[in-house]
Amino acid sequence: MDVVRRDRDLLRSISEGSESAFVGLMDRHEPGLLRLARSLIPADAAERDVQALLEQTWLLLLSELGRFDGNAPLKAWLHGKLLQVIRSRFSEVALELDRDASAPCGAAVAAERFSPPGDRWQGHWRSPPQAWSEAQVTALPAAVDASLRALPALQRVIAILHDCEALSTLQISQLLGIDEPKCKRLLHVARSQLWAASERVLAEQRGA
Amino acid sequence: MKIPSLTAITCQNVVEMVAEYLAGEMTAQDTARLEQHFHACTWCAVYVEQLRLTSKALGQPASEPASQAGEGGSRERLIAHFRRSKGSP
Repeated sequence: MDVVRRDRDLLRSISEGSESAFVGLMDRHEPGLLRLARSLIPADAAERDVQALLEQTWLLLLSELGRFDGNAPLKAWLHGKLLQVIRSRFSEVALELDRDASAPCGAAVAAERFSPPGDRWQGHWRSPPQAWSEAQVTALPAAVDASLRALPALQRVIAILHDCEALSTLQISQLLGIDEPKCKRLLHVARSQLWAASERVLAEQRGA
Repeated sequence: MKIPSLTAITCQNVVEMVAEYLAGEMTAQDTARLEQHFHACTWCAVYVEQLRLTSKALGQPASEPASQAGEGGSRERLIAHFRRSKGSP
């Protein structure tokens, strides 16, 4: 069964009063929604604020069940609802997302890591990556997690929706109202920034 | 993105274009040229592998969240709301 049909059937069951379908939907999507919410709202926000965001998102979903058009998977629609709620509750996050959307994307890797113009090795690594040990690869998820908040908000959203929620860049670009090439570029910059930050964290751990 | 000729390609070019490679969106010809660069440049090969690992690690959260969804009674409130809206007791 294709995803859109499955999503429509699920929403129809919820609309017809199936509590188990609603609870199942919450169980399936809450971990992802929580991760996005926690990564986006101010770090000092209380856990009850996060829960309130989710509660409002589910209420919004229930009130708009009939509006699901199936143009994107339910997961994308649901994350769009969460972003809508976050934007309305945290104006500073809304401003940051809007600012990021119109800002230049920047380089994937800092120019200082490459030999400068005029050098014999211009454009080649001057500060190259070092291979990671098995222990460092094991520690990588924690390093990435610790580095995520340093990304600009829009890059954070794109990286999470793509690499955690497996949404395509086309689906994400439609959800965020940006063009797909820009979305792809921001995803690459986000991953590269996370790589560089994680590289520093892992090197410090090795040196500690 | 059209990649420069193999002789002109630099590591800085590689890091900017590797997203298309990882997404499998590069032409066969450009893929072959990029992979030739990886064979010649261990550092770029390390970079692309570490970028792949970083993307995978992001999809595997390192720690459980401090609290689970629905704490503080929000799940119960939602279910109560759902029952009321559907006319259940």
